[in-house]
Formats: sequence, C-alpha cells, structure tokens
Amino acid sequence: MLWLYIHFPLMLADHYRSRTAGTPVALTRGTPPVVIQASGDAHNAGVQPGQSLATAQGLCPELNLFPFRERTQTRVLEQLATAMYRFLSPLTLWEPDGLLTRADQLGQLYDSLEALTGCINRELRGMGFHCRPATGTTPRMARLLARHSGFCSEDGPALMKATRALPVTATDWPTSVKQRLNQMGLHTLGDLLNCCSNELASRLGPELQEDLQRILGKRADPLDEFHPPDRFHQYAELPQETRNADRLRFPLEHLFRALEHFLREHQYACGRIRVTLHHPDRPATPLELRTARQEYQAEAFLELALLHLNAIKLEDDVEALSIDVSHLVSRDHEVTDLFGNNRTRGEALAALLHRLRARLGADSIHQPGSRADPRPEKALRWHQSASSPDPSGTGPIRPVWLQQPPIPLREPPHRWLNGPERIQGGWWDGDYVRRDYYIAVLASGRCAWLYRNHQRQWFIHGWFG
Amino acid sequence: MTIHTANRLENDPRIWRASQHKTPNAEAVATGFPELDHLLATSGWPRGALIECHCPDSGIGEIRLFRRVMELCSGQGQTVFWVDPPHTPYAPGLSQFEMALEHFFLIRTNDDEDRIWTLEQLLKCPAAGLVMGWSPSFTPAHLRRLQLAAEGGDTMGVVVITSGPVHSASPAPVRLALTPALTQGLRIDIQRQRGGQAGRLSLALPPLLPDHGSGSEGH
Repeated sequence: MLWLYIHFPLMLADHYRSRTAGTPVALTRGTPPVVIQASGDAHNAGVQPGQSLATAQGLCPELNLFPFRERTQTRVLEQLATAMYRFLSPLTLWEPDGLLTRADQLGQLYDSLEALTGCINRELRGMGFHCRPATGTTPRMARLLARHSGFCSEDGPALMKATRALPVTATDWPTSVKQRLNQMGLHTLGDLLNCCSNELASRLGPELQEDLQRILGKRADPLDEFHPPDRFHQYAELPQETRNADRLRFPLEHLFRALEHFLREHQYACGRIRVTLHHPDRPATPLELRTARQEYQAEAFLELALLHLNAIKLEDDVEALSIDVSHLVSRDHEVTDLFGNNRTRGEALAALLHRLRARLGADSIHQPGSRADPRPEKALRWHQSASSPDPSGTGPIRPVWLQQPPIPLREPPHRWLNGPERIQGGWWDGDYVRRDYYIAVLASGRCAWLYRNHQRQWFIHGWFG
Repeated sequence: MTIHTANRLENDPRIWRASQHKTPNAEAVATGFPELDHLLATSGWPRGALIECHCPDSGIGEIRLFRRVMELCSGQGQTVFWVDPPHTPYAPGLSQFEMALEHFFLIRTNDDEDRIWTLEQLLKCPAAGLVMGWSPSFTPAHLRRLQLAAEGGDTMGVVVITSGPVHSASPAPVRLALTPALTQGLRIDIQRQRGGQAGRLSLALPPLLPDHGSGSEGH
C-alpha cells in the first residue's frame, strides 16, 4: 500500500496572505507574543519564528500580524480538504496541517506519481498554498517524510531507507524523549530501529514503541475518512469593523461567490440561507434569506441579503460574517426557452413576495381568510401565506372595510338601506355580543355598516367601499 | 433646402400628431359601467398605466368602481394588491365579490419611502394585475416613477390620494376625483386623461342589496 501525505508548511500564513491581497504576513502566539510562522516574502525580509513583534516589524514594516487561532487552523484545513476532495479520495484530515490519501488507488488515474503530485501542487498553488507531498508505505511514514523534507517514491526499500535516515527530531514525540534519545547517541530512526525493542519500551515507555511499530506498518493505524460536509458554512472576518451596510456588500459578495462555486461543483441548489453578522461584544444577528425557487447564483442571494440589511438598522459594528446552508437539494434539469425566460407567473409572484418580505418584514404581507364566528371582529382573520380559497359568501351582505375599533355614530343617517340583522354570540369565550346591524347612507354620502348594542348605543363598524 | 426642412420636420420623432394617437381600447379593461367606458378615451381602464384617484372619504363606492377589474384579474390568475388601505379589508365582504381570495394580497408598509418602493416593485411585476395604493399624498416625482413601473410591467395601478393637493403636473395618464352623490351614487370627475377630454359623470352604482328593495323599514 502506498500512502501520499500532503504537508502545508505555511498553512495559516498562506491563508491570511490570500486574504490581505498578498502583503507579507506573520502569525504570532504566546505572551509576550512571538512570531511562530512567516510567509515567504516576510521570511525573505528576515522575519523568523521566535522573533518578537517589534523585531519582526522593524525588519519588515508592511508586515501584517495575525494571532494564532486553533479554530481558524481547523477551518482552513477543512476548506483545503473540501477543495482537494475533487482529486483525492479517500481523504483523511491530519491535524494540524496535513492531508492523507491513498496514492496506489489514485495511480490508476495518473500516468505517474509525478503527474499526480504535479496536479496537486498546481491546484494548491492556484489557491495560494504551499505544499510538500511525500509518500510512504504507512500513513505515519508518509507524514514524517513530508514534514521533514518531502520524498516521493513508489519504491518500498527506497522509502524505508529515507525513513531510517530521518533524524529523531522529525517525530512528534515529546521534547524530553527526543533529548534523551540524543543523549543516548540515537540520532536517526535507523539507530533506534537497530536497538532491542524490549529495551526501548522499558526505558522510554510503551507509546514510543507503538509509534515506531505504526511507522513500520507492524501495528494497525485506524484512520477516519473525510467526506466533504453536506452543508455549506463559511466565515469571513472583515478587515475593519463597520456598521455601514454598503461596506458589507463586498465581503458578502465574496461569500456568496464561494457558495455559488460550492453549489455548482456539487450540482446543488438551495432556497434558504442563514447569514450571521458577528458583533464584537453582542450576540450575533441572524438573517434568514429565502429565495422563491432553488437558486445557486450569487447575484440572487446578494440582492436579497442587501434588501434585508437595508431593512434592519445595524446597531452595532460588524466584525465578521458567516453564511450557512443546511438545506441543499440537487439541481433539477432546468428548462429554459430561447430567450432565457424560464420564470412562470407563479414564480415571478413568489419572487416578488420574497423581495417585499425581505424589505418590509415577514408580517407585512397578508391574505384574507375568514373564520366561522358570528362576531364580525372575530370572523376576520388574516393569514400570512396562501391557503385554500374560502367559499364565496352567499350570506347577508358585508362591507369591504371593517372599522376597527368601531367608532360612535355622531349624526343620524341620511337614509336607511337595510336592517336590522341580529348578530349574537360569544357566550362561549366570555366575549358576549348582541348587536343589531343596519346599512345606512350617512349625510356625508358614505355608506356605513352600523350597529346598535344592547345598551342602545350606535356605532359604525364598517364602510361599503 | 427649404422644401426638405418640412420633410425633416415631419420625420422628427419629437413631434406628436393628434391624428396619430393610440387607437382606443387596444389595451383597456372594461369598467363594468358603459357610461364610464364611453367617457374614457381608452373605452375602459387603461392597462400599463397609472390612475390617480382623489378620494377624501372611504365608503363612497370607490372599491365598487374597480370591482370589475379585480374580478377580471382574479379570473385570469393575476393578483390584486392593496397597499396601505385606510381601513382593514373585511374578508367576508371581499368574498362576496366574484374573485378568489387567494389572488388577493394586503401589504402594510412602514413609511412613505417603503410605500413607493413597494408600489414600484408590484407594478413592475407581470404577475400583478391590479395594484391599489393609498396615501395622503404623492409627489409628482413619485407618480412618475410609478407610471414608468406600470408601463414596464403592463400592470394597472390605482393610487388613491386621500387628502393631498391636486398637482397640476401629475404624470398619471388618468386623473379622477371621486365624491359621493346622494342615494348610493358616485360622482366621477375625470380631471384629465391622455388622448381624451375631461368630463364629469354621476354614476349610479349597483345597489348593495340587489334582491331586497332598499327600504327604511324599522327606522
């Protein structure tokens, strides 16, 4: 079995460098903070791991410093794995900065190992990442070789030879163990393997022995296979905190482009997106975008998101944005006529209603419905989405406008048209009414729906528009 | 050269000829009132146009005036939108019209800016048949935006102005003033219309109670 391990020596520096439009970048960690990783151009300017921030910035004035975050590291590795899943399968994530795959299975698709590694190199370089691949007959052997210097070969004995030549310091063992080995005069893995294994285990602990056996393939090494998530999540920190919706446009567009790329690649579409605005010291603001039909194009999402953003007033600065999509559907075969006009009237209406909801709020659009209740104010019911049509009324005539709340009648009507109609009910919920309804034309010429309650007071309860 | 000047003038697209105006009823919806159709230059409510309607009071028959259009829209599967009406539309009353209520939408907006934006979006959308919007007043610039949107979407827009002044520079192709006439009538004052003359008409609206004779029994 031949394994291929891809090591990302400057993973986080490369990640931040692509975000800052190619200026020198260094990662810092600890108190007081020191440089732990520097991008290639920063390195050329003399920035080295272990330097203080003042030294690093003195050497390279345009240096951008980012604090190390473990969360970002995991996220970047997952993004890399998702991107490489197109070429490499099965794929395993190896924290903190490596990907592992089976080279012998991929060998059937490529002419040679060089063609495979060349392809991987090109793809990662396009994304702005440096990588160092290496092969091995076991996963751990490939990893050690990749992290040390990189060595690609299909020849088992040659790989074994390279592994034996690796210094002990190339391993992940604790520093104290490495120091003891050096003091014992065991400098390479080859020296170690020549020793008696029982002796080693008793002196340095069984873990070291187990790890050696895994490197040599004498002990099983279970691996978790990586599958790209069936949901999309991406997080983008803003270069500057802002509460201006216009300034969020470009970061949002960047995120939606990434989403479009993801959806295209997987032949997915989605109709619901969750956009989250992260604030420095307040709970995040969630926005829920719904499109009229399953969409995958960034423009459609962007338009809706901007409408939402303009409708809400941002009260706090936004420091980061993230988008989540969990409901993905496979894209149907789309029917488009000659003019690219594939929207029916129903779709146009649904799209229109979603646009209105985005700007005016979810409770701005209503449809009439009625309930079987004799009391007019209770018979009225507005619901927010379409449902089954009500049967056309054939009962007594009702006005188009309801006056809510009813207003007292101030003048005697000019002319009576109809009445009385007794409406009585509500004893079941404690809101009892007994009214006599009349239709009359008022002196102003308006046609009103009047009632007299059981205290013989007159009210206007509607208008015949 | 002088001979050609006249020819050139004739070909100038900026010149409007009275003889060339759009033939009536090409794109119009019958109002349901033959007298009113007769008075309107398009022989009905024009499509793809804005109707400016000054109506200080509700409850004088302003909805019954557009009832036929709403019923036609609903019959053709088009949608009727009411934006910011002055009262709550009463579903049992609406369901007595011959229209399916699933084609009816009520939209409440927050302010003037939202209202204009909403009306513009609705008028632009071909799925909308009739868009009615209520507001105390509209500026000529707003009406111009809405008129362009209605032309673009080929929809019918009715803006009901409840109190504002009558701007002489209104871009709406049809401008009406509605006042009540006693005993269930409606006086329609066509103040101006494109390609036609102003006129005045007292319309007898259909009685509210077709079956029962209107009476004053009881009081």
